[in-house]
Amino acid sequence: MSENKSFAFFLGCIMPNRYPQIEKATRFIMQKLGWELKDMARASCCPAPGVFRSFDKHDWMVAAARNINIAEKMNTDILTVCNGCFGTLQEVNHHLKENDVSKEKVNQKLKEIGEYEYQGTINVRHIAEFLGFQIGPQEIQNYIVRKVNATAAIHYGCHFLKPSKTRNIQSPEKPTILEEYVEALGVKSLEFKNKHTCCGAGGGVKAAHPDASMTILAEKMSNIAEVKPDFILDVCPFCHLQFDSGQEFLNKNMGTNYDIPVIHISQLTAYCMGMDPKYLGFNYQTVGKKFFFTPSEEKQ
Amino acid sequence: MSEENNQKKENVQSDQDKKKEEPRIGVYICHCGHNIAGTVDVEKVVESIKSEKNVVDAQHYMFMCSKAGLDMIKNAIHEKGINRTVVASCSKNQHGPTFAGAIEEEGLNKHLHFQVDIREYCSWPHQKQKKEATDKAIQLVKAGIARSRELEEVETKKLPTTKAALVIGGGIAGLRAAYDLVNLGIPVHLVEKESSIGGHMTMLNKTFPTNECPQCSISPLTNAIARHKLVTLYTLSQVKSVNGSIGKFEVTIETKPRYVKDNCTSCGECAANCPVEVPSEWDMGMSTRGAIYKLYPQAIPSTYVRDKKTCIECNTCINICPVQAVDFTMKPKTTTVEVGSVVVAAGYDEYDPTDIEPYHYGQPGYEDIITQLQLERLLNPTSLTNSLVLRPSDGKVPNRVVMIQCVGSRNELVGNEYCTGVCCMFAVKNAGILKDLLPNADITICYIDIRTPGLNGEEFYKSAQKKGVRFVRGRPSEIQRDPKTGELRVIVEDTLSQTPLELPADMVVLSAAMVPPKGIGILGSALKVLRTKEGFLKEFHIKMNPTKSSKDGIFLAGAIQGPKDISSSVAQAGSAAASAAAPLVQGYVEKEMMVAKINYDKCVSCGMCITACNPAAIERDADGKVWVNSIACKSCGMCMPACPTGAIQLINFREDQLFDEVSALGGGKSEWKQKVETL
Repeated sequence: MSENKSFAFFLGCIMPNRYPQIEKATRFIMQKLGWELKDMARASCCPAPGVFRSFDKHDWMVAAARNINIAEKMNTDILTVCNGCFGTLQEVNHHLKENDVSKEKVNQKLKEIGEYEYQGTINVRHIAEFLGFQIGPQEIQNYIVRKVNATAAIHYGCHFLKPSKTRNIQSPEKPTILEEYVEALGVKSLEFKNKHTCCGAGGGVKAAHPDASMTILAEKMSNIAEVKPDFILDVCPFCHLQFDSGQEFLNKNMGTNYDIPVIHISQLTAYCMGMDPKYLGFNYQTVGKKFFFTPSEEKQ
Repeated sequence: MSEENNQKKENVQSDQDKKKEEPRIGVYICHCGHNIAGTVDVEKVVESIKSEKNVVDAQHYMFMCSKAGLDMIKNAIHEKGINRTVVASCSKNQHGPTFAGAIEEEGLNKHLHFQVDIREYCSWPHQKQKKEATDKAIQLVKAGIARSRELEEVETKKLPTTKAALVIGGGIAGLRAAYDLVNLGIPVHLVEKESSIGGHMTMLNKTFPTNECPQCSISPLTNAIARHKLVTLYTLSQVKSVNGSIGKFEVTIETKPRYVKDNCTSCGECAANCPVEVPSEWDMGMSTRGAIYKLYPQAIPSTYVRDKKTCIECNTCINICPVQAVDFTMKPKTTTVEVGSVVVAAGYDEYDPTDIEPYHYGQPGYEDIITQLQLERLLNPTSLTNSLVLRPSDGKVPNRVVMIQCVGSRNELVGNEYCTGVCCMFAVKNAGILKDLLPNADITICYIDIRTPGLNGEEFYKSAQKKGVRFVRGRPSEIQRDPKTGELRVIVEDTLSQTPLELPADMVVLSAAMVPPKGIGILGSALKVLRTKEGFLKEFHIKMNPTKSSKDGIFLAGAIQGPKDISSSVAQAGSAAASAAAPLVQGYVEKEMMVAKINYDKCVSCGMCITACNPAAIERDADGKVWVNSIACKSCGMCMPACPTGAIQLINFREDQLFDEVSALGGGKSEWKQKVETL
């Protein structure tokens, strides 16, 4: 909505606590693209779509509406780098914009906790959709200084495109947004079996049923390992965590020997835009510690 | 035009000469056994209303609908000189015609009967409040009397009909309707958009539940139609406009050029030498055709047809034709005919599964996913494979075939909530046929529910089970293709055993839904008939008249009214033909002229009534003046609230008449009536 090139940057939980390198990379690329990221004072957990919504949909909406309202007061759209945050904030925003009854109920509750009133004046954006569609594979060429010569297993995660009627980004059955975007950065996307299934983390499964979560991941990983990608590319810190720490778990408990680096779209983009590789923080991740990108062409 | 002028003159006249004799009202309260009298004090009702203005006779009786009750009314007409009746009894939908018919027998206009419902509206809902129910009944009857005073006589007209019928669609339903019509001596104009009559039935390999050859079943009918003297056949044609109303429609038919003249002997030399080869639409891509071709060997008319779009104009056909029948200079033709009734039998289209992305139908690498109609063409004696079961991608014999039910049916995501209702039967049929042809093959049907109702349905289903067809209850989520081997896998949960399955498949057959045919929107608006939200043409009443459309004189046959099988289409076509024939055989239609009339002193020609009129009975003439085609008017009254000036009024439902009734209900004061009138 806002004409000035700025976003309210919604951090969420996992990125700042577990993978600050993704935050660093995101801030780097947004600055290079000429967009300002504004911090959201007193923003809370999004709250997570799987767990909180399942227990109390109304309170889930209230907490999300509060976060959205913080950005409304800043008069900017929200940017998130996480499928979970996107899932909650985009969905609640979409619902409240179209449903006056819910909006009124939510605002009644918001009144009790302070100066908050949901308006419905901004949009919630995801970094992958911002890079893939708004900037796009063409325009990104103007900002990158090098490309990467690599193959990747792309993981969309669940909440980025689904439910498609609400997200309205692209068909979740055979999406191309990430494939086309990373190709512009030199990365070749590999097709693999059951590409669009869940990583096993979301919906509270990782916390409540760790065994089930790891069984899902084990199948996913065996399908990925079969096509031998250089790295796994994701757009969500929670999927990131699952793939990163999950590989180590599988290696310890199921006799596998995975060491496939896990890379967020912001990390890849930041590298191509010229960020010093030491800030990409691969050495702080659980697997792929020694991975470094192989640049294919470098602009001066 | 002269008829229109008469119409307009009439509108003006009837408003002016409203001289009426003084109303003499007979009021009759029915006990309906204990139904009414058990709650309502009928004697008190009679006492309360007998001194109302214009009431000449007031009585109550046990059963007004009995002969004795009706005689009570008839005697009053003769002995007391009553000239209109109010009967307080059941709903007018139940016995309105009984009482109206009785006064008509005694020479009164039947529209001078008014019925007050004191059973459904009073005694039944208020059984425990007898006093209040009696008070309410009195009020209702008083309102009825007030309404009765102003009722006008309504004339019943006999309108002559044109003895000819239009049948749109030359599939099984249209053919059957046309045949039944000509057998009643009615000339038929049969319009078919393809180059041959026969429709979908001629595309099928076998028909359920007898596994009969459909070509054998239908060709006696196609041949009979083709040679019948009363049939005028228009192939490659479409109906462009339909004007008028029941008994007299003017129809414009547009015919595309065939580029081959009628002296064609169907020798096939042209097609055999045509250098063009394109996939045959008729064979759903399972064979090829030239740019000059015949749809299928038994096509009627058997004259070849040239497809201008794919023709390269090499002139080989022109030169080779032994009778010089090929003529590239033929032009489109427009014909206008007049008919008394119309039968719409425009059929259906098979749902195009490309919308359902997880099934990948039509995408590169997924050539072995076909629809049931494609399978029918594959198995057909004239197919590219010589009717051998060979899969499209590499021509190998498929040893594992999976059929998926409800593709485009029962699927809210694609907007089709309905069950097509015949896919279970044709899938069971084709699975059984495949099992007969390939006894060692695994044939699996994935279904949500198997729906094979009626005689022979369940037996047919069981026969496929006995042949060894496997049934898996579950709607497949996806058809996957192995990135390495290219093998297809159907991902489905067997919901009976709660087991996720991956069914490897050499060929997948989608049981695609029946959907309204392309172009039905244009035809529907040309016909001015209502459609369902799914796009099919809507029947008048789902139970009592599933054959008539929303417009008088236009009837529906076959799948255009909703998905159905051949048996039901034939049955409905027969019914449509009989209904369409009735006014033509009789020579006239009876029309009660209880129609909307326009007071031109108030009319501002805004046209709001035209928009509100569902049967499209209100039109604007060349001068911009709005007029009511009283033959087409269905007395629904939708025009009245639409009119901003109150100029258009429905006879006997005029606003002042309704005010009389309502104000009597409100206690009899009619001050507010005057207040509103002055507005």
